[in-house]
Amino acid sequence: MQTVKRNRREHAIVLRDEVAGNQAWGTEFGAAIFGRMNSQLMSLSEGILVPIDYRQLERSDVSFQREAVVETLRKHRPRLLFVAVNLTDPDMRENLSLALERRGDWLLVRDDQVRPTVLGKRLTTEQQATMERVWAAGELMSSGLADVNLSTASSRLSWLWKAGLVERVEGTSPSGGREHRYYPIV
Amino acid sequence: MPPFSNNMQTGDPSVSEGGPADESRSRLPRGEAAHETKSQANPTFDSSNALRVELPARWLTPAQFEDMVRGYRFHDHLLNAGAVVFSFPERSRVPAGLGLWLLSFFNQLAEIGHGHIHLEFETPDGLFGYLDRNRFLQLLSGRITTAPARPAISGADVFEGRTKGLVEIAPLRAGVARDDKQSIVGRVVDSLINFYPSGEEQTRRLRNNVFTVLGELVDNVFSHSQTHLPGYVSLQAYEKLRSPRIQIGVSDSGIGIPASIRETLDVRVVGKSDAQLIIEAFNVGLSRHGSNTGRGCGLPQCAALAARYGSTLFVRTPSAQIAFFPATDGRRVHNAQVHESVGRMLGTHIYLEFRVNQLPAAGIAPF
Repeated sequence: MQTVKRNRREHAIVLRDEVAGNQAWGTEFGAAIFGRMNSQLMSLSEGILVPIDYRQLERSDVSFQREAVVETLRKHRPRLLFVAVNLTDPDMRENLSLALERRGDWLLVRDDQVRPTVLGKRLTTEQQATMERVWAAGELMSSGLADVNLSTASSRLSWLWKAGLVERVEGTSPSGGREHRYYPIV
Repeated sequence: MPPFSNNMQTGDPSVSEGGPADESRSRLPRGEAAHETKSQANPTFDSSNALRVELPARWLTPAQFEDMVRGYRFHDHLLNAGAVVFSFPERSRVPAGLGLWLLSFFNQLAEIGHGHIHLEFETPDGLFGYLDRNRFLQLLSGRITTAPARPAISGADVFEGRTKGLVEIAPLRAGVARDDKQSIVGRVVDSLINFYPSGEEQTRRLRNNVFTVLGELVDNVFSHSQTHLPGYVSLQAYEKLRSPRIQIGVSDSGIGIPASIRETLDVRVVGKSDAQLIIEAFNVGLSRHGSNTGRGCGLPQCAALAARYGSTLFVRTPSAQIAFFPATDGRRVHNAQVHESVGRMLGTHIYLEFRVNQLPAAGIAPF
């Protein structure tokens, strides 16, 4: 597998610092943290990677994660790229996944493995396969999905971008027209 | 008899006006004897014309609680300035989670008319001592009297945090500052740390899962109860039972989950009974904010965690009492038993217990 490690600017959000403690629960508190994170992210430029760092956050329930994390990425995606990091606790991971699933959403989790895990709503076979292709290629354009027509390829890649699962960069096709290039988010 | 009965149908209706108390053998909770202190003076109380309710002389069950609530015309009696005496025989025992139901019920009755509520304990030790120790007596409405009188200084204040496995009842008051509110759940769960020390994966996860359940249930109280009456949360470890367990109770005197859900225009609530709404709220999730907001996922997670720890989850709302039973594989809720013939009582009252030796299934599988 070839993966292009792109040099992206990052703006990490450390949840422990945001909640000023090692635990967080509830809708109201989640909404307050959403407000804090939102004000930080509003001014960031497009394409910045925002690692949501769960380090030292020991526990949080589904409602907090829905309000604080899921609503944040729903608001700023696909302008900003999101990935959860240091999310090792299986129960907190499950709670985040439930919150995402309930909202019909997804979030990449950076684990020790080469590829991140997708938490949230289960991807369809086509969506999963298209993401695998982006991962394998490291950089992909619609024309790179040879097994489907260009319109279908474009729409599948665009969907992954809107879902925050790949990055999209506007480029130029060999013919001089506009063409999007898609990259995995590492 | 364990302090938790799965059989809601066959609760012994030993609650009767002056009926004989059940003298069956029972197990004492880990309460402490009432400490010696100056007692609050009780106003003179004439119980000769009072409505008398005798609680069972053994562990109280949700079914017996319901028999008591629906068995008497408390409201009519209190509106006519009557008095109600609840009598606790020496062998009466109240599980921590169910104690919150009683506390909310008594405090609701104290708000009705100009009547009078009086709690009569046969002995100053045993249950009375335990209810003092876990802050039950301190949180009773000031309009309720007790015999013996409530100690001027509560055992909960004197011994707070010093009894292994017992967590004093925490009141949930509307209007509390956010930081204070946020600390309630952590404080309650952390009081288990000495009992279930960290370091082992199983106990670490147990505490995190208790945190999730309490967080969701307490969040529900603050978000939906819509009342000035306080809610309550309690937690207690019963270690010496054959199957050690942690009992969790959350109770409020608000409008109840079904009424809150009906505030939405969601088509899923139309034509459904309150019990059906509760079952749906705990199985798939419902929210007064509608189905496209992502809200309403907390209660199904509570039910799922309860099932993983082998717990029956009891939910009592103004119109129904529902028990959710776990499947034998311990991974999901198997079925729900509904009792719609319930007495008059406001709020949502939830009671469950985690079997601590039951390791929950691992987290979700990666895609």
